[in-house]
Amino acid sequence: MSAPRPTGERIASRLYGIARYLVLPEWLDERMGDDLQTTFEERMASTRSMLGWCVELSHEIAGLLRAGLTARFTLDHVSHDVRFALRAMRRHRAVSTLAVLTLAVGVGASTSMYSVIDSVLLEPLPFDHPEQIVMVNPTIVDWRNNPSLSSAWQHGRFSPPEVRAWMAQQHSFQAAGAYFQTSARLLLGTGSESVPIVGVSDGFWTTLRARPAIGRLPSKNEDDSVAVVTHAFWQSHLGGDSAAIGRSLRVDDHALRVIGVLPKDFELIGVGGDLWLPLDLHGPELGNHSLKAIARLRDGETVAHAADEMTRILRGVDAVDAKHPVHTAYIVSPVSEATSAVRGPLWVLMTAAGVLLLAACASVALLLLGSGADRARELAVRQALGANKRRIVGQLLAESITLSAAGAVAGLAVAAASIRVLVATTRAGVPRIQHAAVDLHSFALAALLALATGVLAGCVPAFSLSRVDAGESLRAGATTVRTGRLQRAIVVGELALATVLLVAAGMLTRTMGELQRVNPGFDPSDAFALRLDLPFDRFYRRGVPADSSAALAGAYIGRLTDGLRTIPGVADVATTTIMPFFGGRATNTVEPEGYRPAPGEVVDVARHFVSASYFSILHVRVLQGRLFSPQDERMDAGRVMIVSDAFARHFWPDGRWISRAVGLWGATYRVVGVIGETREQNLRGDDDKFKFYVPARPDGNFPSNFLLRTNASAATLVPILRERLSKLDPDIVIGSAVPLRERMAETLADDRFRMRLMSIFSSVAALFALIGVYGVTSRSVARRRREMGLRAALGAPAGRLTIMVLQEAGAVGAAGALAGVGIAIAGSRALERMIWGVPPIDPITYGVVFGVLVSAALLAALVPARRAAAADVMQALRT
Amino acid sequence: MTKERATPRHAPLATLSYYVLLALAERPAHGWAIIKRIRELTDDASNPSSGSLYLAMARLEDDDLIVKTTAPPNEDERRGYYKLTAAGRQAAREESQRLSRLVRHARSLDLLGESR
Repeated sequence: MSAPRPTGERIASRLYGIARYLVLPEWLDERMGDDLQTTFEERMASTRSMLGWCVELSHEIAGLLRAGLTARFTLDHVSHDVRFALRAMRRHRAVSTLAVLTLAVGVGASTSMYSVIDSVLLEPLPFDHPEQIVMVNPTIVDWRNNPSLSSAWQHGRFSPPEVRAWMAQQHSFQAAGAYFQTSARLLLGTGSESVPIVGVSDGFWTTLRARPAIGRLPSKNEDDSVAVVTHAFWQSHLGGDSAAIGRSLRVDDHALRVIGVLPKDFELIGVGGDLWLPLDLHGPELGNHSLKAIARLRDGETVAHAADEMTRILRGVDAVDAKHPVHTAYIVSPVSEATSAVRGPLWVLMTAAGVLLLAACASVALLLLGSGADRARELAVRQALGANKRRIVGQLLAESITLSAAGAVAGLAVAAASIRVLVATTRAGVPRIQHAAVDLHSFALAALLALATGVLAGCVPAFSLSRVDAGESLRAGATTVRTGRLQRAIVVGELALATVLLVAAGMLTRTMGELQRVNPGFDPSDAFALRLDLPFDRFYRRGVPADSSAALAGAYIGRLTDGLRTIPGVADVATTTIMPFFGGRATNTVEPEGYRPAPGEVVDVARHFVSASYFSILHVRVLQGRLFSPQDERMDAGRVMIVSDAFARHFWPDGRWISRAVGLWGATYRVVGVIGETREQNLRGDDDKFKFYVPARPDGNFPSNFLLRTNASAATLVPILRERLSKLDPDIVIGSAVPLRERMAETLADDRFRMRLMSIFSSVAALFALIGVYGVTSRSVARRRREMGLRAALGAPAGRLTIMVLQEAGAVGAAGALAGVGIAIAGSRALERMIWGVPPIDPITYGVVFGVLVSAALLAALVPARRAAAADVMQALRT
Repeated sequence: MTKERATPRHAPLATLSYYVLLALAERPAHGWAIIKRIRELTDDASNPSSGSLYLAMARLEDDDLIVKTTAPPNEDERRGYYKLTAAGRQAAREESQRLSRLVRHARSLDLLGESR
């Protein structure tokens, strides 16, 4: 076999040269590169056989790689490059500081938002195979097409017979359990407090595959006198030691024995309580539909298939409960269910933070391009003095990489700080946000983007610069025109990104304004909401007849109401089962006189038990008839009802509403009044429109919510309430006490928070863009000083030059804003669920954002434009 | 880093560096000649690639143990020739003595297989 030369050798030699250039650090290649190449060539030339030649070649390439790696990771030289870069950064302090800060904001915002999302939405539940755990909900089919039903029907509740039936028939799940959440009074040596409680059926713990930290979990069919407590409760109430097992707790006049403590990380998102008690599905009826259910899918089982099976089964068990006849199963992961309200907004904010990161990168790219252009002369001098082109490029690169790395590291600090702020300022309702910690993956991604920006932006001026003939560069003072166009394109992009965020912020601000303008149908200005935990269990002891229990409880409420009424400054007191804006909800199936439901229609209407003065304290508008009087609350009074406007209009379109009959609980109620639409769930008004009110009578369904008519603030009233109530009954626990108006404002806290965050993001993005406009305009003016001077010399008036520069900036601004408007329109669907009362593509918002951004761009260009006008003819021509 | 360089970092020497010093102790040489000489000295047990060789030589040069020199008469001027410095000779001596002590010790343990 003959040796493969000379062609093969030439190719190998060329390849080796390229590899050398790529692999070796420049300090090594510059020093040794030529000798190395010669040695390589001599070595290859000395090889005789084809096989030997190949062996040598692979040996040489491998050795080159190894040497390159070894040399690169020698600290000496890395630190040398970094030191060089730091020196350069010190020399260009303003640009470097701005770039680092900009990147820190972008990296910090995106990392912190993603970290929150990771904690809230993506973190798996702390159980074995958490992906198999699902929530099973019964949904009334077509609640959307049932005029009386609201979206609350998507997540229906089961009755115990329904749960028993489907659990016996299903094949999709390896385990399933039902639960309900409530609260109870925990009696302590010093008094009592209200604790959240979860009752869980057999199968609940096996579904989760939960294990206790200490003690045990309830066994099958264990009686309800035992309790499992959370780790936190164990620490705060039971001393946190193993002696807690076997301790007795008094809860609502029952004695509960503590048998186990849950692990510290136990968290079933959306289901929470301090105490977990066994729930007997065969026991006495627990309220009609109060149970929720979780289940664990069999291996390989899909949610869709399980939902099909459950729908089939649930339709079959309808016979058990004729009131809610049509079911479908809605199966969803616990995390999605518990975060359904925050998921959309979180992703939108995440996207906004990502856009901000892009804007930050664009901004830094501009800065680096700009400073590269500014330094063109300095570099050209160095090039002319014989500095190696590659050396200059390498140093520019090292500099921008160091800059980006510094920005990324600063971003990490910003992220850590912002997460803390986000967690502290987010109220309840965003589950698991308190666990949020810097997510290193997203940080790595953001940092990589920052680095890539640095490398690219460092490369562009470096390469275009090195291509320029040094002499020419020195003579004309000209820098590359090529990067000028690139810079303008980046500014347009920045303006587009800023426009998108400004539009989003504008839409949210408009939404907030609309929500604050909403008329809830009542006037909360002198209403004070007082929610109590009352010891009703005292009246419902085992063995006491229901009637006398009810009488005792009714009398108790009466005493309480009278006691509250005597507080100075309290003009009136009303009771209600549902306190507006506290999220409670109850419904009943009703039969309005003369109304024939469509096939499949369920007439289920929101129910409120209220005392006579409820409507007058809230200043509710009466459309027809009258309000309740105290006489209506008497046991011997006729059964009367007040209904909402929508209720009356839908069922009796003829407008004759008074004295109409409504079938309810097997009796007939007469409508005595119709009130205007009220929003008692939230200001958006997506709650039940069909409502009925019946007088709170002392025969069950006792209210524990009190509406006081008073102008007192919480600060003055709460101490008095505390004192009065404890005198009346030391077992009363105050759940909440707040002026209703404040509570209503609180329900907008999430909207306000999102609006503020989006406003911050968009302002920062806009600032980036305007700095970009300013920078590019100033450089363009500087570059064209000769031209400007020439024009001035030829008699162009100063104003003309200003206008010329402003025209350019205006064109850039308009192009960016237009592009942004286009993107915003294309992405407007994303905001749909966060906006309210504003059209998805709101012309006002878009118009204002466009106008403001273009004017701001003009303003940012004004200073450089005036400088252009002031161009000194002689000086400009001399350079 | 600079501090580290002030103190000699060539004790003990990396094997390849020692070979380079040994090869250059005979006469100034260029890369390919050094590789060939190392192969001979080690009975082909060591066959450094050009990359590894020049990385080692760059470091030896940084430590002032070798220095670039002009090609001897009648030799190819294209090649870069290297020669030992005084410090280099000293480093090679120290390393050889260190190895020699080790060999003496090995001999005392009868690890050289000489006393048959």
